[in-house]
Amino acid sequence: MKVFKNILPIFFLTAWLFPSCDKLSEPYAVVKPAGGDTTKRMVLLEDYTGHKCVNCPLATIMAHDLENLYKGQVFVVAVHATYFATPDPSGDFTADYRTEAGTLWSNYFKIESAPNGLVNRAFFSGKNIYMSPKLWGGAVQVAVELPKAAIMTMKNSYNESTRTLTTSIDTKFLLQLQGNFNLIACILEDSIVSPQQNKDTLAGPVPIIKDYVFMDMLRGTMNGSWGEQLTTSVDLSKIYNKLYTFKFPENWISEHCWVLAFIYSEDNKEIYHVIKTKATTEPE
Amino acid sequence: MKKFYYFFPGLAFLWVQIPMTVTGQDFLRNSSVSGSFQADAAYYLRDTKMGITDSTLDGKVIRMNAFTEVNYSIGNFSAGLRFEAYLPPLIGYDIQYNGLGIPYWYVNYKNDKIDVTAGNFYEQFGNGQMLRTYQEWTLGYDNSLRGIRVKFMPINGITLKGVYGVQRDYWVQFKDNNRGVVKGFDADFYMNDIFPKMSKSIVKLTVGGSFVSDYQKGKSITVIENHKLFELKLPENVATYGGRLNLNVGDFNFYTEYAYKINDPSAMNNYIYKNGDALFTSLSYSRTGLGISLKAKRIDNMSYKSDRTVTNNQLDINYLPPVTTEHSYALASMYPYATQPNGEFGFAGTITFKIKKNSKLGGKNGISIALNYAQVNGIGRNPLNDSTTVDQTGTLGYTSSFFDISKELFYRDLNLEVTKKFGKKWKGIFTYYYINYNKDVVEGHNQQYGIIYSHTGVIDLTYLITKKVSLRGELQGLFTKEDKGNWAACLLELTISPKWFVSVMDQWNYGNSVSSQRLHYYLVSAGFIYNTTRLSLSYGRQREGILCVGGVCRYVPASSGLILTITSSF
Repeated sequence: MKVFKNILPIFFLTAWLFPSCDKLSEPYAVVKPAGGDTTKRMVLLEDYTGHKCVNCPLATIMAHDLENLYKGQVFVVAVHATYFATPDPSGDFTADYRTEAGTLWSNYFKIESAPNGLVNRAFFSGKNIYMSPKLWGGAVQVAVELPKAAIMTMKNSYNESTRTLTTSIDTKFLLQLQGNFNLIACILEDSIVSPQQNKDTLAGPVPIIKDYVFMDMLRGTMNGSWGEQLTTSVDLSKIYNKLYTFKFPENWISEHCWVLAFIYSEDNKEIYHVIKTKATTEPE
Repeated sequence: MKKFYYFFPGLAFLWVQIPMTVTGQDFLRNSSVSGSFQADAAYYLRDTKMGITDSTLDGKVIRMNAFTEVNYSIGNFSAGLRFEAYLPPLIGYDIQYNGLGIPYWYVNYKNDKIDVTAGNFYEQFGNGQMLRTYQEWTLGYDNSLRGIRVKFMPINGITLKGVYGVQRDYWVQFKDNNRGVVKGFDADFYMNDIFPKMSKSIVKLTVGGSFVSDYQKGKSITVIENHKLFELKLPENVATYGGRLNLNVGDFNFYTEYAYKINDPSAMNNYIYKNGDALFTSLSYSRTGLGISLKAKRIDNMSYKSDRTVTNNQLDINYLPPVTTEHSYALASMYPYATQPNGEFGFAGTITFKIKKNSKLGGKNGISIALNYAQVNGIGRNPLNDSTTVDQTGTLGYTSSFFDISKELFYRDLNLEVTKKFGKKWKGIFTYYYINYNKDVVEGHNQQYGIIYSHTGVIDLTYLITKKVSLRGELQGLFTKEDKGNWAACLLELTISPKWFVSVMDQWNYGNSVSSQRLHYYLVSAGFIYNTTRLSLSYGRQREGILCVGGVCRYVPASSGLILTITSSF
C-alpha cells in the first residue's frame, strides 16, 4: 500500500500536467475559396524540381493548381536543380536543364532534394525558407493576403533575325520598404518535351513519363543570377527603369519563352513583386 | 622600506589566494573531466566515371564534420557540452548542418532518489516506440531534447521520469513555436524489488507505461487536393501512450510493448487522421552454447515528429526498433532495410549454437553457427469507401485490421554464419546471405526497380603471423540479376598490434549492364592508434548507397577522394 501511496499523487500530477490530447472529429477538411486579387501582393512560387525526381510531377501539378486558383496573382517557375536534375551519361535522362542561377539559388537556400518550393522566398511557419509541396498552399494563402508592394510594367522586343530580346522594366514601389532591393529578369521556357520519372499515376504513367511536357522551366537570367541592384533606399515617387538585352541560344524556342521579373530584398532575399510576360510579343 | 612596499601587496595577494587555492585544489580533487573528440575531413576529387564533376562538387572540395564533447563532474553534480562544426558537412550529410556551435549542453544533479537534468538530454521510454532521443554520428542524426528531465526513484524498483522540452533541429533556434514542445512521463516498476516476497523468485517481472504529448501551434493548414484548396483541421496536441512488460523466467525472456497514437495528420502520412499503433514482441532463450531469439512487430501509421511538416530524418520523437539485422561486410550491407513508419509487419528468428570442441563435427576448436531469418511485409490497407482512395488527404486514410498483412514484400534476409578456428594461427568466418530488397519501398521509388533478389557469400580469413601481427583477408561476391548486377570484393588488412593497420579493398561492379559503369571502387586505408587516439587516412572511391543504423537510414552519394579521421577520448 505504501507503494501506491507514493505513486498515486504522481499519477494525479501527471494527469493534471499533461491533458494534451486533441481528438478531432469529421469533417477534417473543408474546401476554401480561392481567386487571384491583383490589388494584393504578387507571389512567386519556385518549384525546385528535376527529371529524376519521382515525386516532382505531382508537385508540379500542385504548383500549377495554385497558379490557376490565384490566376494573375501567383506565378510559377520550375527550377531544375539538386541531384535529381543531374543528367545521366546515357539513357532517358541525358538532358541537362540545370542553370547557373538555379544551382546558385538551391545552394543558397540549402535545397538538397526535390520537390521543394519557395514562396516569395519568405519564411513560413518560422522555419526553413523552403518547404515541401504540402505546405505550398498554406504559404501561398498567407502571401496573397499581404498588401501590394509595387507596380511593374514590362516591354519586350524580340528580333527574330538576331534572336535578341530587349526588355524594358519599370518599377514603382507602393510601400515604404526598408533596405536594398534588386531586380532580376529570368527567361522561362514552356513545352519542352523529354522523359520524367514519376511515382504517381495521378500525374501520368509510372515509373517514367516518356513525353513529359515541362512548363515554366527556368532557362537563364538576363542580368545575372542575383540580378541588379534597383535601389538602396526606396523612393515612392520614383519610377525605376532598367533595360536588358539577351541573345537566345539556338536550342530555345523563342515563341515558348517568357520573361519573368521580380524585385526582392537584397538583405533577406524576400520577393515583393513579380511580373511575367511573353518574350516574343508586346505586353498587353 | 621600499622592499616592504613591494612585499606587502605580495603578502596580501597570498593571504587572499592561499585559501582560494586550497578550495580550488579540493574542488579539483573531487572532480573529474572526461570527453571525446572526432574529426572527419575529406578532400573530394573529380571522378567523371562516377559522374562526379566540378559542377557536382560545386567548389566545396574540402569538407569536415567534427565534434568535441567535454563532461565535468563533481560529487552529485555534472555538466557538459558538445561543440560541433560542419564546414561544410561531408557529402551525404544534410546541408542544414552547415555551420558550427554548441548544440548540446547540460547540467545535472543526482542522488539516490532524484536525478535532474537541465539543458540537452537523451532519453528513451521502453524500447523507444513512444519516445527516444539519441545521437548517431555516422547518420548525422541528433534529436536531443532541450529542456528539463526529472527522474525520481521513490522506492527501490520504481523509476519515474518526466521530460519537457524541444528537440534539436540542426541549428534552427526554437522561437515562435517553430516546432513542437514535447512532454512525456514514464514509469517503470521492477516487481521483484518492490515486493520483497518476489526478490528471490526465478520469475523476474518488470512492467512500465509511458505517456508522451507533442504540442505544435496551428489549428489548421491549407493544402491542395484534387485541384482545390482545402483547409485541414489540426490537432495542436498529439499524444502517444502505451505499456510494456518484461518477463524473465530462468533462461527465457519475454518482452512486449504496445504504443497507441491519436490522430496525427502530417506530411509523413499525407495528412490522414487515422490513429496509429505499434506492437513489438520478442522471446529469447539463452544457455551456454545455444541462443534462440524470436521477434515480431507491427507498425501502423506511427511516424511521430515534433514538426508535422518534415519528412526526413529530423525531429523524430519516437523510434521504431527493427527486427532485421544490419550487416557489416561491404557487399552484404549493400541492401539494408529502413523501417517504414507508415506501416509494416515484420518477424525474425535467430538461432546461435556452438558445436563442442573435440567433437566429430567441431574438431579441436569447435564451430560457432548463427542462422538468422527476417521478413518484413506491408500491412493491408483498405479504402474507407468507394469514393475515397487509400491515404487520401483529409480523411481517416484507410482501414487495416491488426492481422491484415499485405502480400507486398518489403524485405527478406536469410543468413548463415559459420565461425571456426583452424589451429592456433587461422580463424575463418564463412557467411551466406540471401536478401530480397524492395528498392521501391525502401528508397521511396515507385514501380521502378521492384524487388532485388541477391545472393552474397563472404569468406573472412585471419592469419596470425606473430602474436602482434595479423593478416586478414575477405573475399566477397554478390550475385543478382537486378539493379546493378553482380559485384565482387576483396580486402587485405595487415594489423600490427597495438598501433598500426593498413588495408586495401576493392569492390568491383563487374556485372553492371552498362559497360561504362563496371567500375572498381578501390579504397586504401592506413591507421595509427596511440592510447585512446586513433588516426586513419583513406584514399579511394565510395559507392552510392544507403547507410542504416537501427533501421534509420541516410543516402550516401558516390564520392571519391581522401578521408582523414581522428578520434580521441580522455
